[in-house]
Amino acid sequence: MSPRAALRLERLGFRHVYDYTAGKADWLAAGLPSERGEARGSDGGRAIDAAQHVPTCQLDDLVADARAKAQKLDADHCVVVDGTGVVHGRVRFGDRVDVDDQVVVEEAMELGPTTVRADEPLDALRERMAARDVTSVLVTTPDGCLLGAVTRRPGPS
Amino acid sequence: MSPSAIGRRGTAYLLEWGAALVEVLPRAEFDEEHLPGARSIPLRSLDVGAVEGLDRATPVIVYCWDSL
Repeated sequence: MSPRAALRLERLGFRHVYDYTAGKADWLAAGLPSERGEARGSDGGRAIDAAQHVPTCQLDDLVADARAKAQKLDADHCVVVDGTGVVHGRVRFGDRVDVDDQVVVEEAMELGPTTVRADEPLDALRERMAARDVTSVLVTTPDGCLLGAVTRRPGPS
Repeated sequence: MSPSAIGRRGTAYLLEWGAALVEVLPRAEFDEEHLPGARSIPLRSLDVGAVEGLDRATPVIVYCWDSL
């Protein structure tokens, strides 16, 4: 639709026409601001609304450095990102005893942590997290850049 | 000159420089949610009258839902 609109505007005499091809879906998935109609009413919110800061480390960091960053934020894991903020993996600590502190993070990380988009409906996300007993899910842009994490406190047994 | 395809960063950059932003989806979708500062000109209505308020020398960005 937008390519046709862009050509139409050129026909109407516009000299500098740009087509944001990835569109509204991309913008919202990146957690960027939007304007909503009054008729929309309230909903349960989106993942970006509940996303919190998480400790991060670089691929070349030592596990010891990643552990220190996690401890500063009282976390049991550290998200591994590259220079552009794209998520590559996660290093978990907690009760793990097999992680060598002198190894680079890239060698110790688990690959491909689960991520969700910023505009993921929060209620449905929390239900899925509860069903799978997941306590933390990373929120990223469509390009894979880290925005934060949605956490869930385990319920009473 | 063909319209240029741009991404999210390019869109944000051009908006900072004063580009106009047009959503070409049906009005109901625009009303539900749209990018800040966008105006609604559904593709079916995109004629001379609909763009009267837009300066033809100013960059204009169009968008719809996605690229599919």
